Formats: sequence, C-alpha cells, structure tokens
Amino acid sequence: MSSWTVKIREFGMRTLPPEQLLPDSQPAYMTSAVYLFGALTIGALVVLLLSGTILALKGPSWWHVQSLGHFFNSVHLWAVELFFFFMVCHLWGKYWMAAWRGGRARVWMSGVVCFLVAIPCAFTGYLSQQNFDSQWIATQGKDGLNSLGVGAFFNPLNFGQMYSYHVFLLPLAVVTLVGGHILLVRRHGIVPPIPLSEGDPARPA
Amino acid sequence: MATGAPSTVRRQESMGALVNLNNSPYYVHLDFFRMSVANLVVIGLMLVVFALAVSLRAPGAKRSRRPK
Amino acid sequence: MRSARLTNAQLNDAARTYSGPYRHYDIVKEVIVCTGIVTLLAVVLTIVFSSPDLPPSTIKGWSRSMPADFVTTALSELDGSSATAGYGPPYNHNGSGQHIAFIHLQEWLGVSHPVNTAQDFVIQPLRSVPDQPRLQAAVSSYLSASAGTQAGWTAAYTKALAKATASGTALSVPPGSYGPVGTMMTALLADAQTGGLDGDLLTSRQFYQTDFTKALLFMADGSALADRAQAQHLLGTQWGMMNETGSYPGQVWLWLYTFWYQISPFTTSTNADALVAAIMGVLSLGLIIVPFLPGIRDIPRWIPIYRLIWRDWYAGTGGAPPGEPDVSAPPAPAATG
Repeated sequence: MSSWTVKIREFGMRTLPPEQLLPDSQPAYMTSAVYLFGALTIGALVVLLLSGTILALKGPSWWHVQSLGHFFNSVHLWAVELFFFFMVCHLWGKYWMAAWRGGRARVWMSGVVCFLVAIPCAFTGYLSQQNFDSQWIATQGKDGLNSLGVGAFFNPLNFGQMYSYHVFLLPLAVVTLVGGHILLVRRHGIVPPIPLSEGDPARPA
Repeated sequence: MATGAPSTVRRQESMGALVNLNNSPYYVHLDFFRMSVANLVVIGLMLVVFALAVSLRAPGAKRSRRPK
Repeated sequence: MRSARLTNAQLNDAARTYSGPYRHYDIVKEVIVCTGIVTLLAVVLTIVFSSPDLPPSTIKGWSRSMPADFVTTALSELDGSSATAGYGPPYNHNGSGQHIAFIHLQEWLGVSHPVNTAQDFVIQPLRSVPDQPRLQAAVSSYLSASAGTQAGWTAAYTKALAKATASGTALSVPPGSYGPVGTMMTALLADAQTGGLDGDLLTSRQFYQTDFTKALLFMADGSALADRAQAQHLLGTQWGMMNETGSYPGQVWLWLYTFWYQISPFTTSTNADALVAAIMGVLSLGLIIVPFLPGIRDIPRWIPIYRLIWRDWYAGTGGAPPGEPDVSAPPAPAATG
C-alpha cells in the first residue's frame, strides 16, 4: 500500500529539494542591489508581525494610553510604510527584468496577489486604530465597499469585525501568500538576464 | 473652526518625537492634482532608492576577478 | 535594439534553465540582515516622527460644539432626508444604491445592517430618556400623527432652525408651528450633550459592544467628521484616500485609486464608487496577467533598464568562466511552469 505521507514527502523532495529551498549559491548574474528589495520586504513583514503581536497582546486600547504602546504603534506604522515601499520597489525591479520569462508567470502573479491582499490588510489596520482616522476611513470606505455589495458581509463600521480581520484573517492570508510566493521563487529559480541578441545564450561567450 | 473633537491634541508632544508631524499638512496643488508633501517625499525616495539599487551592486557581489 | 528581434517564445526558452556559473550566497543571512536593517529604520523613524493619534469625535463633543449642526442632522434623520435615510442597501430599502451598467451588486446583496434613521437615531433614544412625561407625550403625539402632519412639523422646524442662534452649547430656536418636534429635538440635544446618545446608538443590545455602525452613520450625516477631515485634507476630493492626518505620509499605494475620484466623469457620477472600484479591479487583474499582455510585457525590453541591472554579466565579468565555477551549482531549477 502506498502511503499518503510518503507521497507528499516525495512530492516535496521532487519539487523543492532542500538545497534548492535553502541554497548556498546563486547564479553569477545576481550582482545588483535591486535583488535586495525582496528580502527587505520580508524583513518589513517580520517587523510588522512582531510589532503587531505586541500590540495584539495588550489589546486595541493600550497604545492610546501608554507611551510604550504608542512606541510599538509607531514601529508598526513605519513598518507598514517600509513594507509597501520595498514591495513596490521589488515589483518595479521584477518588471524591468521581465522576471516572468521562462515559465515564471506564476511567480509574478503570486507576487501581485500578495500586494493586492496587503492593501485590505492595511485598510483594516487603519480601521482598528480607534481614533479619528478610523472613524473617517470607516465612514468613507463604506461607500466603496457597499457599492460592490461587499458591505453586506464586510462592515467597516463594525470595529470588532475589522479588528478580527486585521489581527488574524488578513495577516494569515498575507503570510500564506508571501510564503507561497517565496516557495515558487525557490522552485523556479531567479530569472536569467535578457539575451542581448538572437542566438546569444543568456550568458556572454 | 468648530469641530466635534476635544480641543487639545493628546500626548503627541509627550511622545518625544524629535520632529512634530502633527501640524497642518503642506500640499502641492496644481489644478486637480493635490498631494501632501509627505506623500511626495515618499514617492521621491522610492524613485531615488530604486535608481540607486539599479546602479549599485549588492554587498558581497564583488566584481569578479577578470573578464574572459 | 538587438534583443527586440527575439520572439517572446525565444525569450522564454532562453530563460527556462541556467547552466552558467554560481557564486557563494547565504540566503538566511541575507533575510536576517535585511530584517535587522528594516527594524533599525522603523525604530529610527519612530523616534524621529512617532505616529499620529487624533482623538475620535463623539456625539457628545459634536452636539456641544456644533449644536445647530447636530439638531439639523437629527431632524434630517427624523424626516428621512439624511444621506443614511436614503442610502439603500445594506442599511435600508430607501434607495437602490450604485451599479455598474446592469450589475446592481449593492441592491442584489440586500439589507444586512438594517437602519431606520427616525426610529434608531431619534425615537428610540428619546423613548429611553427616563422621567420626562412631557417628552414621552410629545413623541407619542408625533408618532400618532399622519405622515402629512409629521412632514409639516419637520418642515416648519427646518425653517425655524435656519434662524436659530447658538450660544455656547445652548441653541435657541424661534417659535413656530412645529408641534411636538421642538420638544423632541431639545430633548435629543440635551441627551446628546450629556453623552447619553453615544451609548444609545451602540448597535448591540448586549453588554459588550464592538459595532459602531449606527453612531458612525449618524455622525457622518452631520459635519462632525467632515469638518475635521477637510482640515486634515482627508476628503475624497482632496485625494484624501491616500492621506494621513498631520504631515505624516499616508497610504501612498492608493494613489491611483484616489486619482480617479479627481477627474470627470467620476467627480459628478452618482455611481463613482462602483465605477472606480470596477476600473481598479480591471487594472489589478491586468497587473496580475502582465506576463501575458503583449506590449506591456515588452516594455522592459524597449526601455533597457535591464542592461544596467545585469551590466556586469553583459560585460562578461559577472562570474567565473564556464568550467571554473566559484562553487558547485545546485540542481538546476526546473523553471517549467
């Protein structure tokens, strides 16, 4: 009898062997600093998760009343700015390298989906602040959501619902998608340079 | 202007920020285009950082020893 | 440009596998160092700039600082002329909401958070005010009147309100033939100014509260939030979607979403929200499928920033020559997706 466990293990080993998952070498064409934006985006996501966890541990009101809470709120806010900053630079870089070449379309597509899902994640964060920002963004954002019928099941004026989305559901989605994106990058490898002319292999002679 | 808010700005000063950004925002306004200076600075920085990244090598990516 | 001669299929084939030299690399170190850099940046930005926290508006604060605006808004909730009263789904059936051509999603998904502005924002809060038989008699009198009579009273009170004078938190409205509405509005203002209405409008009847739908809808119908938002450049017409309070950077990534609201026909369309959302949906889908869009996917070859990125490689100095790899290559990535 074949084991489901063995099948999954063999699938994993076949599609992404450990030395490809955690490589100790990279193609020689990867010399540009433009390759750092992906890791910087991951770094910002880690800072977001850690500062967000601290804020979640103390509850949504803490940061309004204690300096330490405000400190971690500030770290969380600036990590959001840095996250989007590096993610968009990463996206620009991958665009100008046409990084979807050679069967890597899914890598590009999963990356864009990460970006698109990060936006509601940030949106619900703004709604979870419990300050004037939240009030204004909720009362304005509701019209866009309601116009698509989304307001029927996603109510930005309901703090409890937005807080659940922000501290659990959407971060889970972002982390899962980013994880999937990274696995796809490791599986397909970093795209080689665009050949300079016909017949020119992706490598100078 | 009368607003529905308490008149005092809470705590921001006591938070010890070296630069106070809780002031009236500055805007660049041309016809329908209206963007806060803060947002423009962020966009400008993104372009500068991207241009630098394209021009610079990653640390550790030394030019190799010789051309063929 | 020479590379323009390559077909897309050739480009794809050339990028499918790589058998050239490799360099030493430490992926774990890179991620950890980058995380350290971002941590440092976030902490420095925190120390230098902190973060904004404008206190929330309350109905109590609004009714005390702008009593005329509060009563005008309350009256519009009572006579059904407020934005919320005529909103449509998901709050009530008094409007059909927005649509995109023949797609009426807002209407189709129905009323999930029912709000009857007269009952929820005015009548029920007044009914909960204790020990005021005169007020309760006024409410009963209003409720038992015909719709025409009610409309006559609210119209008369609207006229009187236009000549009202505010002095501090007090509002004096000239007399008129507005029946019980004057008593009701005076009582609602008093209830609001003591903070009672803030509690009355919490949606749940339970002890614990997390849903602020009704209180926020009521406040949004008045000027309590909009005046503050305008001062902070947060209005939709001020590209407000991407702005933060004060001089902080905001949600810069929403620049394109808020851009559409600044141009015709979206500045005047009653379906602007639905149309802009549809446009952004299509553009987002376009961004996802860039690898399959002829033209868009070719721009990187026409504007050769890639020559800068891979200039070492093109100069033939990117790695050791074949046969003398720096390190042994890992199994070739199978880039066959």
